[in-house]
Amino acid sequence: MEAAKPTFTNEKLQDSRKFWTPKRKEALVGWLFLAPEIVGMLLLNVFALGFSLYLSFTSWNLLSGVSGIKFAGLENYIHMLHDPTILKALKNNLIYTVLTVPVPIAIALVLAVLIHNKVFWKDYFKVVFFIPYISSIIAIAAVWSALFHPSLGPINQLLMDLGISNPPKWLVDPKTSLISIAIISSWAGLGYTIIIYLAGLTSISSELYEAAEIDGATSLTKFFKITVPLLRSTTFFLIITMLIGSFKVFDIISYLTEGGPDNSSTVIVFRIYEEGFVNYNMGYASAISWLLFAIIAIITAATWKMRKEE
Amino acid sequence: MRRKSKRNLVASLCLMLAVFTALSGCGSKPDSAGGTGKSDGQVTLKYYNWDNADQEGATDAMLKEFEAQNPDIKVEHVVLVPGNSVEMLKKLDFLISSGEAVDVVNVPSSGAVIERAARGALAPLNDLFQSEGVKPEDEYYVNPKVGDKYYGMQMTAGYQFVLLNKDALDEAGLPVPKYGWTWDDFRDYAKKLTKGEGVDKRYGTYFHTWELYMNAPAQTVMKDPFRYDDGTTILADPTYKYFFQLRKDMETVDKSAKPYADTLAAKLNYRSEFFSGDAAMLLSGSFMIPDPGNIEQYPHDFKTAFAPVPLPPQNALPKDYEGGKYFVGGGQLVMGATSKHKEEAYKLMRFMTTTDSESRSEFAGAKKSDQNKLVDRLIGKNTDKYDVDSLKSTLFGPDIKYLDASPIVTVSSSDLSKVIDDGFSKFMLSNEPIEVVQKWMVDEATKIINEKEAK
Repeated sequence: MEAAKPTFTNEKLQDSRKFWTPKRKEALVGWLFLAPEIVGMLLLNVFALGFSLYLSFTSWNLLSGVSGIKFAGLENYIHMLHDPTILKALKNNLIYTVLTVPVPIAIALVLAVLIHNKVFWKDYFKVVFFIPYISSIIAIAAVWSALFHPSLGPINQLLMDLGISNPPKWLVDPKTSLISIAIISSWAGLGYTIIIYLAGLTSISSELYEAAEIDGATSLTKFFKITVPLLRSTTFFLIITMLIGSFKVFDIISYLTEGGPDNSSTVIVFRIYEEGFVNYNMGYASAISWLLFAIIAIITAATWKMRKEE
Repeated sequence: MRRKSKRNLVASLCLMLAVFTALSGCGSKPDSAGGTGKSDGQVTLKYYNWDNADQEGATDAMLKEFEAQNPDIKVEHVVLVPGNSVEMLKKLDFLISSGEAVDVVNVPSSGAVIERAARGALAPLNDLFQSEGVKPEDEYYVNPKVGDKYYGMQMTAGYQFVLLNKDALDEAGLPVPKYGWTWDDFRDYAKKLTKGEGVDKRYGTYFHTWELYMNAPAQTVMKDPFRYDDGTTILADPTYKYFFQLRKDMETVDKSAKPYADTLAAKLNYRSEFFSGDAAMLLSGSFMIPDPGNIEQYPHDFKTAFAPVPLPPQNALPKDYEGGKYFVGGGQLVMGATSKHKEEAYKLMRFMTTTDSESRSEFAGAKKSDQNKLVDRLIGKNTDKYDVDSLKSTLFGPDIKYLDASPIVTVSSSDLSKVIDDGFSKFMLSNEPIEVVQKWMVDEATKIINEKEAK
């Protein structure tokens, strides 16, 4: 980019005949080659971004056409503060994040260490845990919704055989729907986390463990004093990506529960979809999008700061 | 070097040109708006709808018949969005707002007519009806009006009824129900038709996840499933309390209907529930008439009987109850306010709504059309799978009367549907008491109506 910028000198400006010096021409060609990409980005990203920010200050029913856009000031943002489903969605997002970030990371770490050290057929287990990650999330959700079926599903059949007369209805129970979804998506993402941890584990020198063994450390001590600290940057990377991912969850919720029953599993992104493309309130949907943007921006900024401090 | 850069320049210019042509190609309209023009005394009309591939042929055949009868009128058939009535309306609104001369449009409901008429997008038909000398009430079941102006002609009629497994009825010694049976009778029937346990259990009925099955009277004997004629919410209606309780009693006390949780969890299909014999009764509509005869797609060996939709019992009559008149849905034909050939367009609308064409595949909205022939055609060759008498008396029996179109149009129907959905979940899945749930629903709906509805 830098090299493509035309440079001006007084000498060249004076001689207008020589305006198209080879260097300038090359620069122009360079810009022209970049043009399709830049135009595409301006149109598809920058324009859309600006337009959604503008829309968040309007009330616009998508059906009424462009002429139906009416300026509404801060109305959408004020409405958001009093909208119980938005608060519910935020709360659900937080619960979902807690359930799908720290818990699976801890499980994945233990499994990765076990696979790395203690198990025969390492490659076999790597593949086994990784298969859900490469399967379609919708296919996984379909299988799990059969397992979770309230009266005929194997899980509840087992619970009833064990003497629990009123087992939870899982996905269709307002109390357990969000937990059920968290279980499914954590399970599906476990393979990825394990693979990343395994890569991290191979970079830890075995000398450290040998030295610790000579000093008489137990395997538990080795795990907490050597493995966990040295995997810190891996853990950090996983936390960031999974945190952002957990705030963007949509597909599995849309397929399994559509935010229900009774908004018990609704999240921010699903609310955006619902407002924008079911109720056609584009203005309000845009305002919620910017709320989500603000949340993710804060998380990113916080993590940057944490990383700098390290 | 110089030559090379020149060549590069030319090449990149060509590339850019190509890109921009491609981009601008997306933006421009493929056809210019001046389709409706007169040439040699001949008029060309445009007829818009949302046909899918199968229906398109039938519509074209009817338009051909019309052209044969009216040699100086040509009709161009425009399918706005194939097979999707919701998207089709969006596209139609864009067309109208861009000033295109819209002649005749098939819209999916009378609500869609009133919504657009109120905006001034449609032409009133009073003068045209008058000059032909007909009274709309004599001609069509539903006549959408704004003030005293008529804006639509009913193209199709969608009836609702209950399908019954005749073999199961005979087995239980029950007669096919007649007009006037109530939801209490329905519950009784369902209880008697339930048989077996576990995976092979035959339930008395199946309630799908739609709002229709959360309060059936609201969508079968009331004009609008969301608001009364004065614009207030109907969620306070006694039928809600009654039907919610009926649903719960049927699944927990009688165990004669599949639990709501199971229906939600398993994404069941209402057609297979009935035709596989898992449910002996099913509330549905006239779009299912061809299905009992379609044994390739829905294999089954029992006979299907039909009954009118049960009425609400005396202790749970809806407000403004009109004594058991049924709601009838159906598509309407409308004329755009911008049409340049109103008389010809009127002629086309009358033809399309009233002619008993062989190509018609749905019930006509015209009172005088011969529906019996259509029933025979819909049934097809597997007549042994139908109790034809009960079907005909359900559709055209002397007691069957229909409601007029509601004078109000609800634009926030998706928000209000969600309120009903959530309220029903609170009641069925979280076991909140009915009074609390109903109060919550009324509050939410009133909030939405105050915010989003014009009146």
